[in-house]
Amino acid sequence: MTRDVHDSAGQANDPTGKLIAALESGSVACLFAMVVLVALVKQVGSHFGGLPVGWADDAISALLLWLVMVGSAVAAGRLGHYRVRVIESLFPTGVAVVLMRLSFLTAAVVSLVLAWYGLRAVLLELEFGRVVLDRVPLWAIYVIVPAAFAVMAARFLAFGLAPSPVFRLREDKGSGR
Amino acid sequence: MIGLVLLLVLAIGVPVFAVVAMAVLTGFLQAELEPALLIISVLELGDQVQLLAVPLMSFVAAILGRDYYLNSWILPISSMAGENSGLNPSSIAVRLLSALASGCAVGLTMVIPAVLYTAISEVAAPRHSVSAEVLLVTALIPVALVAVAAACMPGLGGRARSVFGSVSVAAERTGRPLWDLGAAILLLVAVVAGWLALLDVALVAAIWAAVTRVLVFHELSWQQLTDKAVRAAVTSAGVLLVVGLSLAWAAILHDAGTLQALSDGIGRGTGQTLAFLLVASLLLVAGGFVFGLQIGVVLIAPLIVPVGLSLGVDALGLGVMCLVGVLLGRGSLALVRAPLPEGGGPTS
Repeated sequence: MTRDVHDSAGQANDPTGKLIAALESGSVACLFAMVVLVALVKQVGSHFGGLPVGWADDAISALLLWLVMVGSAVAAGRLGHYRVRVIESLFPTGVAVVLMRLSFLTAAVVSLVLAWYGLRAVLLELEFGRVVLDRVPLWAIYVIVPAAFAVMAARFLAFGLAPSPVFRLREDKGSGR
Repeated sequence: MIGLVLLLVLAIGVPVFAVVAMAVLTGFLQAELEPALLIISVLELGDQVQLLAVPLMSFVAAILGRDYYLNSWILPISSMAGENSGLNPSSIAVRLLSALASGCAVGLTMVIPAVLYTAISEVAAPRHSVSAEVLLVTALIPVALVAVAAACMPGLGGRARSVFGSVSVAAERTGRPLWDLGAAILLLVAVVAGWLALLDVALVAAIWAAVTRVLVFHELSWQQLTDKAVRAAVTSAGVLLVVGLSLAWAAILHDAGTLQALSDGIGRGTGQTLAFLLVASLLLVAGGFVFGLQIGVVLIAPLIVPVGLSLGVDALGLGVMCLVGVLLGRGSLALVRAPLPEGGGPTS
């Protein structure tokens, strides 16, 4: 039996939360469908020949990066990132909540640092002015990295500073990863 | 000291990606490298197109159910093999069929770890990288043997049946897993024959799973399919973020020569190699137990690949060891979580 922080189901009860959840799911679903479609076109084209699929590798690279970063930002809001819950399951609820806050705040700081370095990389790319897919500037693809890390930092910070009721602990068989 | 702090941070529940990022940033600062280089490996994540197999296979797993092939085939069949003790012809036939079915069924389960291991080893040991297809095919034989051997142990057989018996009964009633096993066998034959790469296999498997469940068996609506796609994409995004950061970790370990210095300190010889293999195996089983197949490979492979290669261990052999080790760890977790069968009889 493991205890787990209640996920963000609470925020989905209000209209704003529902809208954000729908937008997130829609974005991830669209990115996933697009990357599958492009990969399918590329693989069919390369196996059977005749189709000009030279653009497909760049498109898959960009879509995969966006899928990873948008998915990671969504996972942060749903507490879906891989975590080890050894210590928190050994302590009483009060101590476990403190440890959880500490872990979320640590994750927020790390995400913020990654967002900062991501921003620097984007600014560097802006100076280089490289393009992919004929006319798409590379910085426009890379910009998702600092943006997603910033969203992750905000979400982890919100979890870390949230009032106690948000940290309802539930007993859930086999929910831990 | 830093390693202990990171382990503590990991243990209190800080997400794995943040811990890996902290480890990499610390390594960069110690090596007096620009920390911004960490982001480069994340930016270049998309360049490894083969990693697309991760969300695709996660999508397959989301549609069919977590550990579907493990639950539907490997443990129930292995459990049957365990019940047929003795060396009569029918028992031998059952065991051989178990080995075949388990090997084929587990093949698709191992696609993701094989792809992840290949991506990591290309950075950790650029001159010794192995093809994911070759690795998968080579790993199938020991994996099948491990599954059957584990099933022949009385305690394991009983636990497996208690957990997965209902799935096995469902499989007999519907016959659908037979379709899926057939598809798995066809896909693996295509990989062995060199007709398909692992990314092709993942694409075909994803389309197969979606089409059969939505259009043929009508088990899922389009809305449910979309929900499963979102869940799979979000889950695999978390894994791939760890992969991106681990690539930087593997690169710094490789560039700084840290592990090379460690292996030089260990020395070379049969005893050292055996000790390394033992420690690495334990690490992999522990990694699979705690983190699961995917994260287990991503975290442990950068550590053991450079040391193993410097001790003269074959690169392909290391890959097989990685896959089998984390699978054993993952399987152990399933067995630990499983309740003992009522009545206490292990295989009764």
